[in-house]
Amino acid sequence: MPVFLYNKSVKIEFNKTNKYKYCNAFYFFTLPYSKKTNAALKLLSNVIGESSTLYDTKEKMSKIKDMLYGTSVICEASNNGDYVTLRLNYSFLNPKFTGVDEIEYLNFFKEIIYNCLISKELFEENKRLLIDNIKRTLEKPNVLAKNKVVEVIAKDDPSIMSHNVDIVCDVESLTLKDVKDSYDDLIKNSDVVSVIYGDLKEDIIKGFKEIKLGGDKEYHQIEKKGSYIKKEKVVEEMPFSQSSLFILFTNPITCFSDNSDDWVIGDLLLGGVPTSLLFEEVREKLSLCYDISVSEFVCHGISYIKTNIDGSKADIVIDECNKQINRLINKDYDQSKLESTKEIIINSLIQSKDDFETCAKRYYNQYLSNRYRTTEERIEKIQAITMDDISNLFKEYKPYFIYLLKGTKNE
Amino acid sequence: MNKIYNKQFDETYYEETLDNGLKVIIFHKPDFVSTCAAFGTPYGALKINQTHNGKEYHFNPGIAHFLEHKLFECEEKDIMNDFTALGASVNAFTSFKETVYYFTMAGDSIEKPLNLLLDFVQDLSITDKSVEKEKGIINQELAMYLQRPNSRLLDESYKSLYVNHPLIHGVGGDASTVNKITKNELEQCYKLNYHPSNMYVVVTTYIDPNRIIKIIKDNQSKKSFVKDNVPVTCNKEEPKEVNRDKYSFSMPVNNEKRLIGYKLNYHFKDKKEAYLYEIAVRIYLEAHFSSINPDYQKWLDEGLINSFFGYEVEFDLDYAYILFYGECKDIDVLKSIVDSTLNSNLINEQIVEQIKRRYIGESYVDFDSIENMTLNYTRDILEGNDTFETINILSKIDLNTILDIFRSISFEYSTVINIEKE
Repeated sequence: MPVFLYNKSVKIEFNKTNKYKYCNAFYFFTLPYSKKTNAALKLLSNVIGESSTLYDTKEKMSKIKDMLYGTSVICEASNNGDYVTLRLNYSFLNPKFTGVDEIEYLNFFKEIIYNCLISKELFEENKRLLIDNIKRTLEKPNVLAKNKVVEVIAKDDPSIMSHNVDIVCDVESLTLKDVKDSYDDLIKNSDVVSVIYGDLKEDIIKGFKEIKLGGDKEYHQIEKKGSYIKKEKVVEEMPFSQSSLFILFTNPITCFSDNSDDWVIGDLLLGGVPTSLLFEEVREKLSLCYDISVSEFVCHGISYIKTNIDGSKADIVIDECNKQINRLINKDYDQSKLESTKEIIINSLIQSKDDFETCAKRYYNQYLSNRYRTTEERIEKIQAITMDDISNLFKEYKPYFIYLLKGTKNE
Repeated sequence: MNKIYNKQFDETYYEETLDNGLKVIIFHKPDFVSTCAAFGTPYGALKINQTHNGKEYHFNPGIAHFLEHKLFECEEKDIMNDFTALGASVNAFTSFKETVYYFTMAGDSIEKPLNLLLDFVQDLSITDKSVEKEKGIINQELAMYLQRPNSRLLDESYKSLYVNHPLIHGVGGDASTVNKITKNELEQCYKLNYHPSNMYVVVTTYIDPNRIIKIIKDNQSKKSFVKDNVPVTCNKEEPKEVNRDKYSFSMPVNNEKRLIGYKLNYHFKDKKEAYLYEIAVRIYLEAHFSSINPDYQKWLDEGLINSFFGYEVEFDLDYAYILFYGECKDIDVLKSIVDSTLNSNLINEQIVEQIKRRYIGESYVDFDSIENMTLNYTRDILEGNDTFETINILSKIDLNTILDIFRSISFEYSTVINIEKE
């Protein structure tokens, strides 16, 4: 029986068969944020599914996963400043393709989730691996530059540090007890949302439904804004062959606002799709960059333009970006641009119905923000956005600061 | 159309070769709501030296990638805008072996975006000015890859292993080769390598395949293409020896990176044989250099490796290599792990079955994503591989074949690369 199950408040089942070859169980474990919990869950995301009482060596764990035709357990920890989320994706090929008894998939999942083994040796090993991974991530110039940007914003809004990638110190200070306590918390006290997807038989669905995880508490995210004060341009140098430029703006909207879709469409129109103003003007007409886009710190009401450029041309790029924002304020662009931006988002919303991971994440994000909207409701809202709405949105954009990580290497 | 049902994967697809030689493959997935259509040529970065009707052509490295950029340009219309207005997301990629243009969309209105895809790929419309303008964009793109340690490690390993092979130029070439590319050269290269008889259209959709093939046929029947021979790649002969035994350079990295590369000198009769060698070597290496090997835990415990440690294998018709890489303190650590493990013969029938099961399971993953399925199938077919046939080869391979192939490899020609901290 094919199932798409939201476990917590919504349950949907539909009758399409043979759509997916894989079965996926997503579990979102939420705990209140602290530096320690954040670091511990990052470490646990490398341990859960990698070691258990029954499969206590890498060799044994590899063997059981391989014999179940590449069954995978992927964990990822993230946080938003209020809460830390560990997302677990248990994925296995539909037993009809493998001939494996499907109860084995359920039993293996119970083993890895209930009997995760956190020995001293594993703790030390994973601590070291996690630190190396963080350091490797920071070797990417754009990640490093974004991290520097976060550090600057943190002067006005310490909660933004939840976006800081460099948590080496937090990981170093973790003890084995911290990690074991966090695992207990995760299994017994966290707020757990599950989304199960795939053409599964009735008894296996029942088995997954009966897996009890987490406590009674419900955690929902709240708006988080600081008092952002305009700053001077920050320029730092590194021996890279290219420069990373960030141009930041604050605005009164966050992902919790009623008009948050205006924000999404506005930023895409500025620099999120290949027909955006920045892509057309800065890349296509002036050949100043290869990539240029606009992103947001969604809970904080901050938008930022980011691009990789020849550092000596930073001022030209900054001027051009400001010109494009003025065009949006003055409605100095063709309406078809707005309509096609809306169209592409509407289509991607419809297309995501084919993507179980996006569906699962979307459901969890709605749960976390306690704001439920169907795809159809969102499409209706997006269709109603006008050039006036976009103009009003950008009138509220206040320049915050510019960050340039200047590459000093000429290859 | 020829309807084919693959029982193992429970997939139905349709094939047809049009009068002009264009090959069309349509996967029918009635339960999905999206469509992905790809239009590709087997022209990638490795084909810079070609002969055609007795004439030799030597293109500047990076020309395949440059062409990909320029095909999105059209004087009369804005292609990106047109796709966006139709609610379709268009994109493209160039690799060593192919260039593929594709779009994804939801809904029934497939006529316009599919025609748009076929039309823009089959019409190169460029000016000297637009070619010059593109150089700035491409050079920024190349600069971006240049500062990524992993990408540099791979690029430098090709430059060390090979003397003449076009792998040494990477997919995009470099600023000096890109700056030399002209409008005429692009037009010549396009004419040679974008003939429909050389190309594939792959569509994965819930829409009736008869409707899709009719759109494609109607589109193609309005265009005329002179019947022509397919150009032949004529690269300079590659010596057996490596270009550089050792190469070290510095970057702003937190952990130094090391690589040992082996140049394997093979010429295979066809892609099937090359794939058999590649899968045999992959299974052998997986048995020895992953957590399947009990020593892997020891290497981790002793701090000799971390999660960056791994290997890469490629076997193609005229080149083959094996790369081992890690964030080891020095190259001798990596060397000692590789040397002591490579011939330790830890593989047995049970391990082969274990790895095969994983690979077979993984081969189903792409079929759950309309986009991945379309693009991977397109890549496979443009590279001369039949996706379903390769899985059959994988299913049938046994321990003896793996051992025979591995024992036939000569590890005589090697190179080392070091990225030191800046």
